[in-house]
Amino acid sequence: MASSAAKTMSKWQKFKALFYTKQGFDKPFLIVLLILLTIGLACMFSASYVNAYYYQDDSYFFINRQLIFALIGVGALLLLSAFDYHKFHALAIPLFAVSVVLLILVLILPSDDGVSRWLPLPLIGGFQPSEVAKFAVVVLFAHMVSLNYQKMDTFKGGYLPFMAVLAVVCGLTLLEPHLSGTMLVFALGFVMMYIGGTKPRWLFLTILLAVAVVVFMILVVGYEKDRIEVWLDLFNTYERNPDQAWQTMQSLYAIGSGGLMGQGFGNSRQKHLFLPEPQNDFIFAIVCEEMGFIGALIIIVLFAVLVWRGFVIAMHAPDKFGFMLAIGLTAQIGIQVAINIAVVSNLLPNTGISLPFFSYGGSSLVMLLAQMGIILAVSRRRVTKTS
Amino acid sequence: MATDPKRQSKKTASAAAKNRPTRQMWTRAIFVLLGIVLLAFGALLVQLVMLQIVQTDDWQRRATEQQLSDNVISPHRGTIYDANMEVLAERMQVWTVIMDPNNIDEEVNREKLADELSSLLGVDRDKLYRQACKTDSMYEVVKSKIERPLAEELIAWVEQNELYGVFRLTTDYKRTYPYGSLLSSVLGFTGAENTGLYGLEAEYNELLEGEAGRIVTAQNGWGNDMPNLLSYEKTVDAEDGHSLVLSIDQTIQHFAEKHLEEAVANTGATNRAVAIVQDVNTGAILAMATKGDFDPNDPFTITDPNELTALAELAGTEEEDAAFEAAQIKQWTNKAVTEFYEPGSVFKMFTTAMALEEGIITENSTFTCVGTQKVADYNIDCHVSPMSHGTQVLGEAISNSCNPAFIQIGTAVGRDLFYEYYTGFGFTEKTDIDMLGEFDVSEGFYHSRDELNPVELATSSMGQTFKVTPLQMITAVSAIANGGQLLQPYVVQQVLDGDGNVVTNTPVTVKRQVISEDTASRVARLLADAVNSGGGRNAYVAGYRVAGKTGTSEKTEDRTETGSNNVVASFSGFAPADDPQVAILVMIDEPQCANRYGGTIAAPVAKKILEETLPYLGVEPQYTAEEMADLSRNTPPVEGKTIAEAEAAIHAAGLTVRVEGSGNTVIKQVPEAGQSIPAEGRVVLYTDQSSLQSQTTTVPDFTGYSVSGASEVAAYYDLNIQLSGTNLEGGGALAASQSIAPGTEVPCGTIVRVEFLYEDTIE
Repeated sequence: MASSAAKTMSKWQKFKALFYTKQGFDKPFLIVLLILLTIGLACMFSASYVNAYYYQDDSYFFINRQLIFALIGVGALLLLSAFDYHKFHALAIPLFAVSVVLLILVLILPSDDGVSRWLPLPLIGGFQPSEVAKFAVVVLFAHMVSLNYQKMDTFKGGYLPFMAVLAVVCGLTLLEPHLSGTMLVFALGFVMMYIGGTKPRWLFLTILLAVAVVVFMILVVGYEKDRIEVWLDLFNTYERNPDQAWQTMQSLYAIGSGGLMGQGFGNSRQKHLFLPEPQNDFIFAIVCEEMGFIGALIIIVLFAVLVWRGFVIAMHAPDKFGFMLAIGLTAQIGIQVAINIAVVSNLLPNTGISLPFFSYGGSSLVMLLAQMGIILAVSRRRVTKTS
Repeated sequence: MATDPKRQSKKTASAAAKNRPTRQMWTRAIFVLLGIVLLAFGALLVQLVMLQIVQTDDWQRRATEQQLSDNVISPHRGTIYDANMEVLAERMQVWTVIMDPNNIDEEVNREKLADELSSLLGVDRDKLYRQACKTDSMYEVVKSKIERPLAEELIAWVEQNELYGVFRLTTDYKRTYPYGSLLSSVLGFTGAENTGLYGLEAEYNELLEGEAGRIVTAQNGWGNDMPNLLSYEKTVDAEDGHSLVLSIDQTIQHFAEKHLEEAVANTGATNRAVAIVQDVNTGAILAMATKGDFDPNDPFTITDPNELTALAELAGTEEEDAAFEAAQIKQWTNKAVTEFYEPGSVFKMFTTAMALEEGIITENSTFTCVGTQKVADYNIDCHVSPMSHGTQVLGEAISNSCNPAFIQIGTAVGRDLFYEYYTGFGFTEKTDIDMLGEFDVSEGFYHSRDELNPVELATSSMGQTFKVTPLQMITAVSAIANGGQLLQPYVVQQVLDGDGNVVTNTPVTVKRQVISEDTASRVARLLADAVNSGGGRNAYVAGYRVAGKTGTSEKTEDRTETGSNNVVASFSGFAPADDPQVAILVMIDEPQCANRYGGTIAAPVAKKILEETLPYLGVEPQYTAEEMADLSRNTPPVEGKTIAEAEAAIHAAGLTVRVEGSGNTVIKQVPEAGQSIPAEGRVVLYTDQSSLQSQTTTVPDFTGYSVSGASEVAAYYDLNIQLSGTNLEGGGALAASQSIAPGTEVPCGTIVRVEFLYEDTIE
């Protein structure tokens, strides 16, 4: 009935059908998301204007751009929230292929400082292929789980193909090098494999192996030695070589001097050219300084609510693909927030990972909001007990 | 196609249910959710609690430390003034030359730069060249503390060579002593950081230094000021150092140093010399000189010629460095308070004082000298031995400085009383002057009461076998001069705060009454007689009755190559004897000249210093008739002579001359030949008619002036004065009448006879 109807539809009707849904999306999720986005934009402005004034000659340099991308992102969100997410089944493999090409491209293109994370892009300025890769992995894994869920508890079906994908992506991102991006993809992949049904013991053994490799890399090869040094021995490293530990130390100064109540919104002192690029990965330090522990707590709780809501949406998804998509995209937010704040507060070594909806970055904000749109799209098709 | 819609929907529903996430997926999803929200976010919150609540004070302090710039404002170091607010030590702005080799253009010839700049600034050329070649450096100190003229030359040189941006001058301060070596042994000096290292600079360092202030401002990561919203500025003003006003008068100090230096040069003294002038009524030190000394502007350079010769001999040897250091410390040491000597016969005034006070002797007591005095088993010679002084009254014994006489007096005084007065005059204690490094004689430099056995008592009575500091001696002499009070000497009269307000004013501190006023004045009379006729006669100053005693003590502990002992020659006394104002001490250590007696070499120095000091202090001279005659000169006849001849004749007569007009010969002299006028009076020579008419002056009213005052007025009006009066010896007489009425026009040089009468007879 549906297929015969489709045959008689005009192109416009076909297009409209892509967005046809019976019910509305999950409002609590969108509300929490918009609250976070609003707070994030305000904080980004506060954190960035000094830097913008000194380096760009324009206090509004970053916020103006971020606002434009936020608008574009919200547009993308609304558009995708009405989009039938099942169409991503078809996109899973091409998307993955494109992201691998991009990851290779970024390695080939010349870079200034030996770190190749960004691809130039007109208008936007640049974007990180690892952002695309993350999304591609989520979509691909959701696709694979929903197709193979019966074989998920086998080594061949539930472990090897996933590990192959992760090996390609993580291998390429490690070469950039982009440790945090690698960690994020790895963690995300594992969360999806675990939920998808892979046997926990394989995952556990793999994690042990990965830890061993990482420890070996750090201790013997000296990979990211400087960052590890700062992480393990902050004060002595700062004494010996302030530049090396500068960002982490300045971040802790900011967080610590925020105290319980904070210095007041806009009153950060550390953003006055002490903390480098306060609008980027370390924005949360400035948030902590200005709004204190109370502010930080509220924001973390909001993120927790968002993640909880995302999981609720997933668990009400009508199918495994929607479930896995929503899980993956939500988990990505949760993991990224956790790693970012852990880095900022020196619980983890300093890696380059941004705070969703807060950190400056046009392409990543648009991508994030678009992905949130996909979660909303899943929520539109939720299965409720009453229905 | 007729399917049961119910069944179909059931089938679809079951297919849909089959497609739904499995229970395991749900469970695992919940685990993951809890893992993220509880474990990961929980860990973050724990870390934030640690940073923001537990450790917040520590982080805040660290952050504040870097967010605030703390600049020290250095305080002005206080000035040291003399008694008349003449600056003796002050801070001066200087500059440090910084070079930025990184900023020197490629085409600049660094060789030429080093050549020119090294000769301009007086720095090592090769070192400067090396500095100029350090292109990776931006900060090289070329020379520190250059003064204004050199700084201006440098600026001109930089402009001329267009080396803009290469050199910077940073402001600094250094201590400057405008009078050079004057008072150096009292003032001391400061080191590179403007911290007092020696003398008053060291002792009063804390007061002079002041307290550093701070400016604390909020700054951003680049060190710029924070925007208004976050701006923060807290200034703790620097508290400028206090200033010192000394009791020392640089003019008197200059008199003392001038004559002392000359004496050191003339006598070839190898262990330096001391002169002190003290206000006997307050204990204030008016001058305190040690020669050789140093220039506090350049304290590390040895200036004493003797030391330089000795060092030159050691050049290249191992001892050179140690000798150089020893010479530095020696020249920095204030001999007047830090070194000690055996006073010798000067001490006899105290033996006299105690015996008179106790009524053991009177002025009429007689003492017999046979050239030697037997004490216990020893024979102690008089200094004239093998001759002798025979029988003398007290005054003669003092004038003769007869050793046997004083052994007899001391023995009569006895151990207990001698020790009591010895202590009373302060010879066993520090004077407690406000200076560093006062030598403490209490460590076995005198005989304790128990050690004062007959021989020790005998030698002590004549000033031998014990040691005192020059300051102890003059303070004790002042006690005789001021009517018997031992005072605490001092050099700092006032301490002023940074705004010039008086913070403290040193009061007169009387330690004790040692002898009665009556005894003191009797001793003063005896000592004045000794200066008039005895061993101290070289200290005689016309118009001022100087009281004092000379001393020459042998340094038995070290013998020169010739086998004879080195000596310390000294004189100490006060003036005027009947109304003492100042005490003086001159001590010459190890003179190498032929005649090394205190009376020969120390007394004249005291005389020269007093001669200038007393009039400067406004102490009126009171001439005896005899002195008056001495002071008058007769004008020689010079009319008709050439100017050169006339000048020679007048100078030979002890007079001064002034030539008026343009002729070659003297056509008229005023006063005319054969007139009696005071020494240094002026004879005016007229060489042509026009000058004769033009050079007149108006006679002033002399009434009420003292002798010296009238002389000064006469000199001012270009007149000569002839003193007359019945008896001018006692002093205090004032001009009562004059031979030419006030207001009369007379030629310059005219003699005005002025009659002086005692004040009570005028009124």
